[in-house]
Amino acid sequence: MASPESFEEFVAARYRALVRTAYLITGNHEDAEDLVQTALARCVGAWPRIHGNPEPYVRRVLVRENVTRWRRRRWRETSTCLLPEQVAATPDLDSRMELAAALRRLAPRQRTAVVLRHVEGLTERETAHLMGCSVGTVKSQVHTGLARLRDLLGDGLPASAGALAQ
Amino acid sequence: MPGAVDVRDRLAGFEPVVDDAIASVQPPMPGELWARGHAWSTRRRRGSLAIGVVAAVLFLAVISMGWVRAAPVLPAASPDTEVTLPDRVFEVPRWLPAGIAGESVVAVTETERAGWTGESQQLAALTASGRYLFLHLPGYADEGFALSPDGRHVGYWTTGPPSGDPHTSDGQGLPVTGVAVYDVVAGTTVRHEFETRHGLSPHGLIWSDTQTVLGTHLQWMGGDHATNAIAAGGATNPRSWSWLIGEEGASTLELPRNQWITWSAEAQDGVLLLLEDDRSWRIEVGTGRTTRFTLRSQTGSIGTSGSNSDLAADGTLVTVGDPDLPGRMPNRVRVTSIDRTGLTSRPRVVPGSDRTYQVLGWRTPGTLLLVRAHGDRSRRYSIDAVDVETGESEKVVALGSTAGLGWSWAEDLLTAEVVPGVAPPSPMDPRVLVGRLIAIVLAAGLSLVWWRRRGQP
Repeated sequence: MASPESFEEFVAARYRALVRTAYLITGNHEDAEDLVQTALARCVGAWPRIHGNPEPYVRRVLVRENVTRWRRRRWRETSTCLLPEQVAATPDLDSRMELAAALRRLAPRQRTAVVLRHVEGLTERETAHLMGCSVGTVKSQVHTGLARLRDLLGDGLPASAGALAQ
Repeated sequence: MPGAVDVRDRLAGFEPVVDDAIASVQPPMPGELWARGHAWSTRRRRGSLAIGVVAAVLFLAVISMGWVRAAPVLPAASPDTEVTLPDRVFEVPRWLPAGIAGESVVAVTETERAGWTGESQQLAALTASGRYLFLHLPGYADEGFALSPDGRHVGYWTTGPPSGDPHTSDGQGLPVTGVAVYDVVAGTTVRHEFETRHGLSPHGLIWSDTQTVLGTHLQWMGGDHATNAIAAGGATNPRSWSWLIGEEGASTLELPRNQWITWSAEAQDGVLLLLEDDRSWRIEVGTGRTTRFTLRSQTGSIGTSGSNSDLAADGTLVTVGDPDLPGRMPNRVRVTSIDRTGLTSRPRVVPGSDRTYQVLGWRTPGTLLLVRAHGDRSRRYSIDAVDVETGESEKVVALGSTAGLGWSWAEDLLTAEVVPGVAPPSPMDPRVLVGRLIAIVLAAGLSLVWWRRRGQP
């Protein structure tokens, strides 16, 4: 039923997951929350149409809103370069800060494609659907993004993936 | 590539770290996002609606303006419409539509008509009920025309393919191959083609009565590709002819040696006058009887379609030109009388006829209609009724600027009642109209996109 209650139920259930995605594609905790709240508010008008299965629509709005913000250049002007304090409390601080910093230096569409594919684990088709582009574009963006990450992190990669995963 | 594997592995391992980073995240207060989104959605919808309404109003305004400016002012005419003369003649709008007059026309003029791809010279008519419209004349060659005295027919030179290399003055004109008569009431055309190898060089076209048109043409000696300069630019073999509407073709008109019908000729009721300064001729078209006489100080053509002279049915001849002001234009007007033997009275100057450009005809037995100029700096023109005895003058039709001189008037309709002239519709340039509509649609679309993107919930 398309009502404020169903909307609130969805927000309560999926808010953290959405913020996690937003955090990955923005690289900033505050920006991530702002992005999620903006995307959710944008979905209110369409809620009667999407309330049966709202998540794909909300995620699509989220991803596209992020690109729109980047285009407006507002995003970079207001974002901060600091990682959230939660990250600072973990043991492999240097390695994760290095990866987070490298991700932030990717172009938004590249970062979004890389994050959705290799952090969220979505397929190329799902990623393309969320980003509103073709599968070929996703492949291209991911390829370019990974190459850029390799350049930024260096070939040696002393901090192994295993260390991060632990 | 070990590097690539490592990057992917590190990204995969980044997920739990992010979970830790957002561990303290809490959803906003219940109802807050819904209220925010609802307000934004309403604002967005109202803005879109406002843009749509403004665009629709502008769209309708432009359409309405185009419709109002193009709307016919007067109802459709019939052949029985009472003939009137307007007290004022307006300039013909370039985008005026073409059509069938459906009634007699009191005057015609050649003027520029605009089209989607450019402009061209076309004949516009002022009808008996005061409407303006362009006439659709098939094959119009833009080489001259003549309006019949009763305002029913328009004779004009036609273009077509000659049998050989066409003479077009290097594309500046169209090859002339014939003559046509257009019925302004019925909208029908009768054409007559002359045999020609390179095209005709038209000279004059004139109505000798309401059913007979007379003309003279020469044959170009060469076409555009002629290598001989004389052949390329010369014309020879003059032929004058008479064509009765309804007859199969034109019959040759015998004129005195080296005499042609030119734009200074005058005709009435089957009598043709060829007026030259040193010698003039009176020719009866039906019998061929020719009389020579002398009428000094004729004025040359001033380049308009108007007439320098008028011959009445009773033989009264009115000409522009005073022997005391030889060769000038404008000039005074003289009246004389002519019959089968030549001049029968000494020409006398009409008092108060100064600054006359054209003689149109008689409004009443004692009143002439003259086209005259007024004012020195901003010269205006009008058709004045001038009493030939007293010189008393009264403005009948205001012609406005120089463009008003180009009208050719139906001589038999000059006695009609004068009524207030009604301005013709002035349709907008449809290219501008379409451009404005497209601009409105584009502006509305862009405004909608801008509005729907700029707002943040």
